[in-house]
Formats: sequence, structure tokens, C-alpha cells
Amino acid sequence: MKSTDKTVLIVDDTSYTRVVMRRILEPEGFIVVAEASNGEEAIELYNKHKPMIVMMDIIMPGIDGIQALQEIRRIDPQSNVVMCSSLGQEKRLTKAIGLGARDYIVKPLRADRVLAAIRAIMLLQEDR
Amino acid sequence: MSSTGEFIQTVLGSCVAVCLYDHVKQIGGMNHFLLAKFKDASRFKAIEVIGKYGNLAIPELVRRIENRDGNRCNIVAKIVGGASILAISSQNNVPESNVQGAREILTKLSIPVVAQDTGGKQGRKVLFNTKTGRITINEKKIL
Amino acid sequence: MSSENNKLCKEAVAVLNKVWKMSSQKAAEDLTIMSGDNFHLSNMNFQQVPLEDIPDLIGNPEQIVSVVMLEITGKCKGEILLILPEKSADELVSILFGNYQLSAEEIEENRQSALRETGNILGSAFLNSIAAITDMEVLPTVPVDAKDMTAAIMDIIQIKYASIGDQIFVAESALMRDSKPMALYLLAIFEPESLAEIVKHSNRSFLE
Repeated sequence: MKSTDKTVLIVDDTSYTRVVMRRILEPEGFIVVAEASNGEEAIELYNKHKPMIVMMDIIMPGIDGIQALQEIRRIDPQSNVVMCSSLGQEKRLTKAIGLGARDYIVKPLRADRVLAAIRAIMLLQEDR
Repeated sequence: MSSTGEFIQTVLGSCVAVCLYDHVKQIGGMNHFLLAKFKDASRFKAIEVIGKYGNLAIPELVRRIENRDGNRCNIVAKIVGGASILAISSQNNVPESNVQGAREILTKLSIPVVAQDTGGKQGRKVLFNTKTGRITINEKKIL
Repeated sequence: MSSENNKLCKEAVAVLNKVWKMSSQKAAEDLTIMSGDNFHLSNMNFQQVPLEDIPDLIGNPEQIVSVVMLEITGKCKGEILLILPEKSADELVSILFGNYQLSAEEIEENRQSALRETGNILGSAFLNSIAAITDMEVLPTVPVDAKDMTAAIMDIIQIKYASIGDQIFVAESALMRDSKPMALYLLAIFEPESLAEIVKHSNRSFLE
């Protein structure tokens, strides 16, 4: 059963970004259930924890964020994945949204942007 | 190259330096090349191109030592460099190929390799004493 | 160089300098967001540089620097390098972590990662701008980092471009923090065919 807590899986190959993301989310009451540094780990940890939100980087070694997004959406069509990438190129953005990403944040991470994206998803969840 | 006992210095990352030393005449020289093999060796004579490629630079250095009354039979080689500092795809196995290429060229020239400090992930500051044939690496290691 | 190549080089330089002007403001804003400090990046002037001059491009070849490199893939091929002398690297890391109250140990553990992410974001700002004006997908690889002597690091560039030609296109930009210069070099290097692609696909209205 999918958790309705404020649980988050952070996926980024850069530990600095994972630290920043934690520092944005934890003071707002979100629970970081796990961190992944590549797409394979992301899929495995999603299966294990079924977090409410996945914050997903794109360019990573091995399976990238787009492939991980596809797999997670295949496993759980109700999953909420927000792409976070320095790549602000329209084709990538369109592709990610087309594959089911709920939002696309262009780095660097801004607390207001991250929290707004997550709160919008939470509102949609409540409406379901 | 020097026959007057000068020091020759260079900094190496993935590139390789071959230091040649005639221990009888005390003449030494160093080349610092980018790639082991330039394939179309017949076309170029310009020194800038020769210096870039091991299969051109090493024989040229031997020739210059011989021109200063050095004797190929008395020349020994020391190889330094070939580090993999950044793990990028375009580099593939270039550092290892450079070192291997240098060894092959020296074997063909019948010049023995008496010491080697290659590979790893750190650059090397190399100081070659052309009088003694001694090499100091990063102010610590002596070859 | 043939007059056709000369024309291509001039056109490519004009496009890239305009792209940089467009993206440097975004890149500086990105650094400001990451750190809370006020940053500005100088103009990035593309020029052709002989391969043999590459080791001296950043100054003292024996100076220890931190470097982050992204390779550019897709229709454009090349590299973007962020190079910082150690003092600047320490200063930048300290600024980046300033807002997050980390212990000295945590900062040290995440130091290289912070520099990698900085290189990633600055490089991507530039590539995103190229993508915007050419409509080509221009993608960076996962960034890699190292700390070593400048000349040892620049060996990689010399080796790669040795078989391509004697000259490469390179540009550097300087960083200002609160109007004080901070030694940081952002280099962008393109393979010659990629320059032709950039010029060919550039939106003409952008160039006017």
C-alpha cells in the first residue's frame, strides 16, 4: 500500500545536491526515506519504500533519470516523480512530462520552487 | 637535450616522457609526447609534429644524441607519465597505450628501459638531470 | 587556413560569443542562487589557440587546481571545464555550504561533489543556450573532477585534439564575486565539425 505520509526519495549522483535537497525538505516536515545515486538504485528503493514523491536527477551514470522514470511509472502508474536537472532544454522537458513526470525543476535548486512543486502534487493527491 | 649537464623539466598528466641517457658520454634528453603513434610518419618533418608523437620523437632524440657523439649502445631509457587523471570516455586507454607504445618503440630501437614510473591518477612534475641520468618525480621519488 | 574555414571560424565565434552573453547572466544568477552571494561572469571571448599553448592557458602550469569536466555529446562535441585554483575552490565551497550549517567533516566529504555540481550547472547554462538558439539537443555527460597541476590536466585536451588539428577553439570567462575577482576559469572547447553545426543551425534572428 502506498504511503500517504510526506515521504520522499531523493535521486541524484551528486551528494551535494542530496544534502541541499534534504535541507530544503526536512525543515518542512518531509521525511527522506532514502537516497539513490543512480537509476538502478532509484528503481530498487522506490519498490522498497513506495514514497509519495521522487525527486529525480536526469544525467547519472548507468541508467539515467529518464529511464528510471519510465520504469517507476511502469511499476506504479500512480507514482509522483519530479525531474530535477541542470538541463533546461525543451526537448528533454517535453519528453519527461510526456513520460509521466509530474513536474520538471531546472537546477540550481530553489527552496520555493521545490516546495511549490511538491505541494501542487500533494493537492492533486488529496483531490483523487 | 643536453650534453652540458642541464636539468630538463616538464609536467605530465596522460602524456608520456621518455628520458634517454648515454651513461658513458653523459648526454641526456627528454621528449614529452601526446600519443605513441603518428600513423602517417612519412609526410611530416616539422619539429612541432615530431614532438607530439612517440614513434617520431623517440628516434629523433636518439639521432640527436648520436649527433653529439653519443652511442646508441650506451643509451638507456626511463619512462614516466601516462596517468589517468580524469575518467572521460574520449580518453579510453590512451595513457596505457602511450606507455605500451613507448616500450615497443624502444624495443625496436634496442634501447633498454631501466626504470619506469607510470600510470596512477596523479600528475607528475619531472626533473631530469642530464649529467647523471637521474630523474626526480614530484620532488620526492628518484628514478 | 582556407578562406572558407576562416569565414566559418568567424561566424562560429560570433555565434558563441552571443550565446555566452545570453547564458552568462543565467550562470551568474545560478551561482547567486546556490550561494546567496552576488556573482557576475565576464564576457567569454572565443578564440583559436595553438595546441602547444594549451598548458599555459590558465597560468602557472605547476599550480594545483580543482577541475570539473563535462564532455559535450550529441550533434555538438567538445568539452566544458571549470578550473579553480585551490584558494578559489576553498572559498567557493565555503560559500556554497554557508547556508546549510554543516559540520567541517560533512563539508569535506561533500567538497568535490559541490564543485562538480557547480561545473555541471554553469556548463549546462551554456549548453542550454546553444540548444535554445540551434534547436539541437546538446547534452553534457556526467561531470568528472580531479585536483592536480594545470599542465597535467590540460594534457587531456592536447591529446584529444592532437589528431584533429593544431588549433582549437577555446574561450575563458572570469568570475566576479561582489565586484571582487575570484580566480575561476570556465573553458569551452568545440570540435571543428561541431562549430559548423552550430553555425548551420543557428536561428538567424538571434544573430542580428
